[in-house]
Amino acid sequence: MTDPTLDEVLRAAGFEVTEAGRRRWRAELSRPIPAAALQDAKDLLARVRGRAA
Amino acid sequence: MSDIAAVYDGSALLAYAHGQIAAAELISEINAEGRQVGVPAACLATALAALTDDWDVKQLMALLGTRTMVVLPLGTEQPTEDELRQVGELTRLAGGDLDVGHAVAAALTHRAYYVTANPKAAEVALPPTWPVLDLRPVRLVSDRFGLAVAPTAEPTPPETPPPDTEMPAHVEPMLATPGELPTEGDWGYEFKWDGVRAIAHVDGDLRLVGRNHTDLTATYPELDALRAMLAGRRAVLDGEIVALGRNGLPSFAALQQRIRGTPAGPIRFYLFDLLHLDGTDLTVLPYAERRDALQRLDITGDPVDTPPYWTGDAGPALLDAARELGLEGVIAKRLTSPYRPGRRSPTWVKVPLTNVTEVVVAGFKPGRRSIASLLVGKYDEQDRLVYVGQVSTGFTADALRDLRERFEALRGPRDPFDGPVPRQHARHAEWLRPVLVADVTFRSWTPDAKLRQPAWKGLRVDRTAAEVRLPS
Repeated sequence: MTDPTLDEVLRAAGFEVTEAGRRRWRAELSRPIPAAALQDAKDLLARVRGRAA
Repeated sequence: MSDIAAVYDGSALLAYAHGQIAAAELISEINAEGRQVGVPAACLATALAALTDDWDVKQLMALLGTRTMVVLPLGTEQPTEDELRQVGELTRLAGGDLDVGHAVAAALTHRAYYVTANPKAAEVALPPTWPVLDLRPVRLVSDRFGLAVAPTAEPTPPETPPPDTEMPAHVEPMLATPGELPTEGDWGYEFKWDGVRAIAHVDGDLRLVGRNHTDLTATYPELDALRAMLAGRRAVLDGEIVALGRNGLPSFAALQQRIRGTPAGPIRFYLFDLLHLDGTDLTVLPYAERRDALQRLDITGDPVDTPPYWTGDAGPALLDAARELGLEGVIAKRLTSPYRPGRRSPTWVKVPLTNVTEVVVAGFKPGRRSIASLLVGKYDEQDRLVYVGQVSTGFTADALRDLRERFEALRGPRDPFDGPVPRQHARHAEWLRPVLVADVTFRSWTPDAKLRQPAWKGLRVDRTAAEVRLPS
């Protein structure tokens, strides 16, 4: 679902995206969200739904 | 079905609209991975309400027009009461901030990273373990590379400098020799800043002096803060004045804007040497001791800061870091070297990542709307102005406008070069009195002493044409 027009939009906005900059984010994004965080999220959403009900 | 990797809250969208490169690079990476960025509708509304510049709004809306960005409504297409209340409850947890409440709900629902330039606001509503991607610019002068900052000097300096009776009225800056990064021996390493070199004299008043005795004090009134930071101490300090660009990094183009008197990014004065303190001449001390004395003055913050330096085997890593950050390069200084005013010394080695040289602007070729190219030269050993190339790229619209204005007063009737100019470049050229000095970047020198692929960098108002010499 890559959008080939994105780079042009970023350039038009004045950004010069670098491979080094992207690499930093690639490393961050490669880390899956921890199972404990997913469980915390599930609990929080259930809790706020319960409070809202 | 969308695959949302990250959710941008209002502050992250504003970071993008305000030109913060990290915000764009993250979107670019997510796009390259074939994934998408979620933009909660409440965050978009918050960001649009905060934007005052039409150009910024236009760029943000253009981004949202790409398939990479997905605007997320409050709940599903026909939101249920539960969905709306859920966002409401998370908003309450976020202290009533709907922007954050909606972004937290979206990140948790889509199991996506939360992206923000204001993590404190989000962290009160997010589960404590949820990953947050922080877009705030990294403070350049912190030790963010995991390298050991140079240790402080021994408690007792081995040499006591002689006291002097008065501060010198003028100190010529010591200069570095271009070269390869030295790694053998005891060296200190610093980032090379892309700005204007200045010596600060603080003795009640502040006086900032550039190369060629140019008085820079009135150009940078905000740097008067240095007097208060020194708390009454008398000092002569060496450093570089830089302007921060849209990405938070030093930008020579932004500094040029400031020199022209147009609004530019924030100004910083990065200190890297201490030459005199309270009547004592420190120039005779080794660099490591002068640096230690400078660090102990504890001049940190805005607009004057003392970046760290590194020792040991940190040089190559620092050069890599400079490359990644888009900085000019690295300066290596022998830890034992005294300060030699006005001398270009082999004990200071500059390692630029891009070749930059000074040229004299001696002519131009008009283009359809402005300037098509500049004809530039340097002086040889016999003081003859020698043509070294034509520069036709790298200009901003502001720079071209500024040059056109300056050229009006400098037009001359004849070719000022003492040697030949290639006929195709001389044809239709208009000539100038050779007084303007500029920096250009270039790939290399040709065997016949011409610049390969020169590109405009900016005017050097602190240099005179007679100083611009062909390399020997």
